Amino acid sequence: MPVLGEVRRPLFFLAAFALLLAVLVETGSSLALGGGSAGPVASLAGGIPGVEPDMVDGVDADSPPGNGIGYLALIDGYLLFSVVMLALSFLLSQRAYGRVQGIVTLVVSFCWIILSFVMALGAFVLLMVMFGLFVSVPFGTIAYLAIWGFFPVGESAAVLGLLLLLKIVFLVLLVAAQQKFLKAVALMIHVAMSFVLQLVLGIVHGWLPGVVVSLGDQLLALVFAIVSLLGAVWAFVWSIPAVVNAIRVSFSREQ
Amino acid sequence: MADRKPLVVLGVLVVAAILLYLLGVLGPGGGSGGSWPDWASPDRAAGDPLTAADLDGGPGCDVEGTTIAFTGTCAVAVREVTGGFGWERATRRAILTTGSQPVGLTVTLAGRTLSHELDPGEDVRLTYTREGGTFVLQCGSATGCAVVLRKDA
Repeated sequence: MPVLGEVRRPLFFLAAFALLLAVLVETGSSLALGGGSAGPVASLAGGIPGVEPDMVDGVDADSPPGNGIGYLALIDGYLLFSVVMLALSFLLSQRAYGRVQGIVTLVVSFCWIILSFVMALGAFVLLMVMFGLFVSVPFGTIAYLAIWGFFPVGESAAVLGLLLLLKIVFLVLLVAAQQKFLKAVALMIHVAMSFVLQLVLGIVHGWLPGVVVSLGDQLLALVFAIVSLLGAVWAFVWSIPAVVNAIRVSFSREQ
Repeated sequence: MADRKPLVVLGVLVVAAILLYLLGVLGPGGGSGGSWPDWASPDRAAGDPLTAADLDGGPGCDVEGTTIAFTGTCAVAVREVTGGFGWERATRRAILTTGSQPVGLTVTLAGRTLSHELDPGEDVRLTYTREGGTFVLQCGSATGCAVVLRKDA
């Protein structure tokens, strides 16, 4: 048994690997979800006031991959970065880690701010287009249904289930590596955020009426980007004192 | 003896996560069988106006103000929105009203081609994204047809 404060490294690296897999599944989800024809739009648009049969005649619908799962990578990607930084704290000497931790966090969180901001804008624009088309009967609504009306709820539930499993494995291995990680408030808030947002996504997919699942998914993608942006700003601000300290120590050593 | 309280809390959270996931998967509304939501009213104002300034009338189209007069086939291009932020004019809408002759309408929007036969005096809402698109009007009358583009309420 390791002494209190010591980390069981194999378990920790397995935990990091599980999280890495989760991030890879999220970023690659758009390749696996949806795609191809989902059948005629008429089956969805038939009962909508203002839509007449000749308008949807011969119009096929796509099965969209959705953006919600992909945008979860913004949350979990930064969590992976935090875990990598934890790993560095074991691998590097205290002095070396103290020097690089602040500056690396500063640079990565700055890049994450830019990435999250750009992705939030993209999500917002697409949400505006989707909603604008959705409420514009008849042609706009038909176009919406053809592009986004058949969300692959079953496939996304399978991916979310896999992600949940990987995240549970990550958490269990992390705690098994060192129980004290449960007392690392910032890390646990980040982990909890990852779980909660993913579960909200699963509930939105499962409970919204089929034709508006894509709208809910896109709205949550925007929420994920905003949460990621706020988290990155928070990390950026809190990394500044560490950078200042590192510079001050380096400066005093040179003198 | 080690403090097991955090482990118990963790275990409860994991069980809660699995239950919430199953709740989501087994939800009543998912899939393509869900009903049309009440809040999705077509009368909701959404989008900016599509005006005559956005249109490029092709051969056979006589665009004067908000009226398009034509004989045979008239293809109208809806210009792409350039400049501004992506969310500005994300969708543009207008109401197309036919005159005293029936008109065939084929709309190309977001990569889809949609058609409809408009009766005399019938209204239909045209919607375009920033990318624009086209609509083709077909007149079966030898004396020509006309449609009027007006602001969507």
